[in-house]
Amino acid sequence: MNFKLAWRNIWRNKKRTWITASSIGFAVFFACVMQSMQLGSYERMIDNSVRFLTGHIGVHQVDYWEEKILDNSFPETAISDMNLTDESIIMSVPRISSFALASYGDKTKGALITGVDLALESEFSYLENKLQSGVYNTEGGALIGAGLSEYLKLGVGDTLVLLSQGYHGVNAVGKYPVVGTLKFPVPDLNQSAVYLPLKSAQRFFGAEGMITSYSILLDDPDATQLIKSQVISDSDVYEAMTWKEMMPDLVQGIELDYYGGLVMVYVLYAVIGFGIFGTFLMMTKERTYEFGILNSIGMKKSRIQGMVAIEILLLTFLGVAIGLIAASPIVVYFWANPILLTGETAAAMERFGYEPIMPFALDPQVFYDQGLSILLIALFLGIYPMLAIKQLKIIKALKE
Amino acid sequence: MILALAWKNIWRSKRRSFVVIGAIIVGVWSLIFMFAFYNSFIEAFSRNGVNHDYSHIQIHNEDYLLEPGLEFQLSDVNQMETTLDQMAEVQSWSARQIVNGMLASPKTNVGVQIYGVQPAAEGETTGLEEQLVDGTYFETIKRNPILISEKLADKLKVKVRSKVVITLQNLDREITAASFRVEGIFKSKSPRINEAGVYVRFSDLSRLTAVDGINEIAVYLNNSEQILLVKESLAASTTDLVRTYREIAPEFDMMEQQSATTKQIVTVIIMLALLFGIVNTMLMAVLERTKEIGMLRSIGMHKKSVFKMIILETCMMSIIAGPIGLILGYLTNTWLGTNGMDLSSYATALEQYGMDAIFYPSISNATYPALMMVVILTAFLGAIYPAIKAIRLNPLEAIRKL
Amino acid sequence: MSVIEAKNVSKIYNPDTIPVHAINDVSLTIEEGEFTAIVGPSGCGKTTLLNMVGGLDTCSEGHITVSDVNIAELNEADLTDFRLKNIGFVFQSYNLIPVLTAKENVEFVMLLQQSHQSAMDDRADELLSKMGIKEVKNRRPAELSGGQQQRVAVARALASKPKFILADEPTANLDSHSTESLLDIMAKMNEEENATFIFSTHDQRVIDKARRIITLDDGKIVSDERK
Repeated sequence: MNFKLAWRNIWRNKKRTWITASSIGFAVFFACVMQSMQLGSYERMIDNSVRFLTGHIGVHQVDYWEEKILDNSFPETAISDMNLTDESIIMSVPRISSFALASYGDKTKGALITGVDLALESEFSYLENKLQSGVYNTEGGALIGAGLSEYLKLGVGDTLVLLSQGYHGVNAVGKYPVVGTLKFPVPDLNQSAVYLPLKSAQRFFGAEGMITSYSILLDDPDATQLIKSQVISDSDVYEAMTWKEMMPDLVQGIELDYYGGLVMVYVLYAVIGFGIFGTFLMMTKERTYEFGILNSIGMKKSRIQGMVAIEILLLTFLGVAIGLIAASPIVVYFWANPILLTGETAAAMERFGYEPIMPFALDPQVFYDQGLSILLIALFLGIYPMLAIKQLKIIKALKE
Repeated sequence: MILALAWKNIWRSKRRSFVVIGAIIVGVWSLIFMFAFYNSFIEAFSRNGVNHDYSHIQIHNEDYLLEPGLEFQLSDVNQMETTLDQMAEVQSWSARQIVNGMLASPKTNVGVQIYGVQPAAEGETTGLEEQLVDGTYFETIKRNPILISEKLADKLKVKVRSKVVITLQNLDREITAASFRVEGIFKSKSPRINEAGVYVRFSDLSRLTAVDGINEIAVYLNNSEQILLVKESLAASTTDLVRTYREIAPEFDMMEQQSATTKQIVTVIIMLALLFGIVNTMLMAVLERTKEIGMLRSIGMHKKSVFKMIILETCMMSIIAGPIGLILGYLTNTWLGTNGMDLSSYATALEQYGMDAIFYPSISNATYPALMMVVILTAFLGAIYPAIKAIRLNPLEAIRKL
Repeated sequence: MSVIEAKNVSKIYNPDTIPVHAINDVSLTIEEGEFTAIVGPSGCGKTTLLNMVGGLDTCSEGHITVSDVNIAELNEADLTDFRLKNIGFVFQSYNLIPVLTAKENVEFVMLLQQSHQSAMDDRADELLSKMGIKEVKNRRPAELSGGQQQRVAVARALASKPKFILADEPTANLDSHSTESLLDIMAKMNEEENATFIFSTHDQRVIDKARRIITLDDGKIVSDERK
């Protein structure tokens, strides 16, 4: 009965109900779309960085992270001692990387040389898909970032000269035919990456059988911490690190951006909150007389409060539903079809090291959070009508 | 008369007016704050870029633009230097030889961009000396001193007085190397320079490259407003390419544009939210006063006046609330502008953008009246529907109700 | 058996500044089954007296017992419950719940007492047909005439078989025809259900129908006659 009364009461003033519900809906809609967009780009940034740079978990020789030098590499054979049986581990790849000077003709540039298992890497970081020209799977050749290829003015078929300091300080010099160029979503890599097959790289650095990192990809990033603790059992030789530990600036950057968005959402909620409060205010004021009557014919105040509480909940649910229903097709659409940016905006993003793409995340948590936030706001503001009913004086109310 | 009526109406239902006024205050206040924060971000970004990296104007060989190579040197450095010295607008300038190379420590090596500079001139122009966190500024080490960033020092695992080796390709396409000793470690406000910039004395670098040409002159002005003027006169005196920092690094313009767009979007969204509240509340006010409006109409008040009354009532609330929000925003900004807003917990991320962790929100005075206009406009738009509703009321029917 | 006993009841407004005696030392007993009109000019204290008897307003002095319960001793929630079980109200401006149909309005008070659905149904139908408004039972108040609405209000007041029914100027908003039939119905209910009615009025037609007439003036009972 309370419910029936409440339901009919909210439709007594259809216009007010719609205006209030749509203002709630607007806030929920906007917050959902914005947060999905933010989370989408974070996911993408994390995914790119994890795949190309660190893995969800990276295993290194214990000093490597402090001192990223070849002397702190470790033998590939150590992998067999690691516990990689957990179900959420999709795959793992060995890598050896260090800096070198890359030259072609009269051009020289610092480059990041990474030795990889080409077959595994094409699954791990989809390296093969980044191929812009040339062929992928050629033993002995080098794959270089498109930016570096432009800078050095060399293309497929040309020979790249690499010069570096290898394992235990040996001189590392090598000539490698360029077999392909790569276009990366991570701009830094575009300008500096040189990929060699693992064996070639090890030979170049004079570090046969050695790798600098063993990167592990998980299907459930939430399990990172747990698996990190399993991968290696107490060892003073190796350490496992999570991507969050390896890329604190990425984590911070994401947090900063996230909180920036949150401020906006809170302001929106504050403004909408006034509107909701206005509705509750009117609802209470306009019906003081009615509450007086109900109370005088024997409806307890607690019961009246219950009725009004249901009205508030219904109104809020309606608004939240409007927002979610409006937001979900948009979020789903852009989740399936990320916005590709072009022109100046794209250029700007690339300059700042972002991929010029605006992916959306499809995370039910976003919808849930926004719905819950508004609900809490409405419940908080609902204290007013509750108090007003509690303090209702029948005689005064009947005179309204 | 209508004005007085509208004014009195506002105070008749204080709580209801409080809803509209409160929403406007919160909306305006937070907009001012957000604007100021964006501004402080942009401002810090540009300031650091100009003061510590690009300076106001840079001069290069025209071909250097296509590919920054050692061989693309300025055509007539002496004449340019004389010109610069004579210009009153120029505060300082720094001539640099720039070459890409590799920096090696006993542990590892990294690709770097090597700047050969006159220490005093560079210090005055980019404040390099003030950015030292360790060591000294080309004072103590006599032979081949080098300044490197903290970031590079970490990478290379070197400290002040450590030995490092620069390997580069000179103009004759020969790979040459020389050892340098770290004299100072700096932390630049420019992420670009932190990443891969190292400074050596011009004379040391030119010995290594076997050229004594200049690739870049950075010019710092006394007053940034004269930037275009100076650029014009410099361009007229040389065949080389004279560009402002905005032309060199488009991210300044892009960031400003992006911030302007963001501000617009944020404003529209907040105002839309406000609009909902205003329409809702004013509609309620009209419906509640059905009888009274009917009475006013029947004693001969024109529809136009009723319409005007409702519009005025709403706009007046925005006129009361707007300035309060603006003042609150102003006070917040003044306080934060003095004390700063500490985002130290995000220092690492901010460093990527060349930002300090303390922000000083500020806003141009023109923003206040502009925002005020936007708020009044919003109130006006929000009042239209309720006002239409009010004049559609049939006076007789309105009176009969109750 | 008396349902209401008021002893030396006074209601004083502004006791601290300029005291106004709305009700001044009134003592009154209402017996079960009585059909009483409280009459007097406006401002004589009719409504105040009814409000106090109905437990809506408090007495400044004296006390009122309803079915041997001193209502001043009840806390707010209990008093509300007491009203629900013992007192039916009919208001001048009907005051039905606008979102409920006529029948639902009648059922409402029973529902608050957690009666069974079937019992409620039967009682509501019974009352509505006695009131002669059975055919409009599914209409909402806004779709009913004033007379019909007031009959629904009487049915609502009777629904929970209260000890007595208070009606404050029940006919003030009705035309003479509706007044006539409402009074007939109230008289009928008084007979058939032995319902005790107390109403305030200054309408001569209503006074004519009453079997006991209490006249108030200036907060005091000036006459109390039974026909």
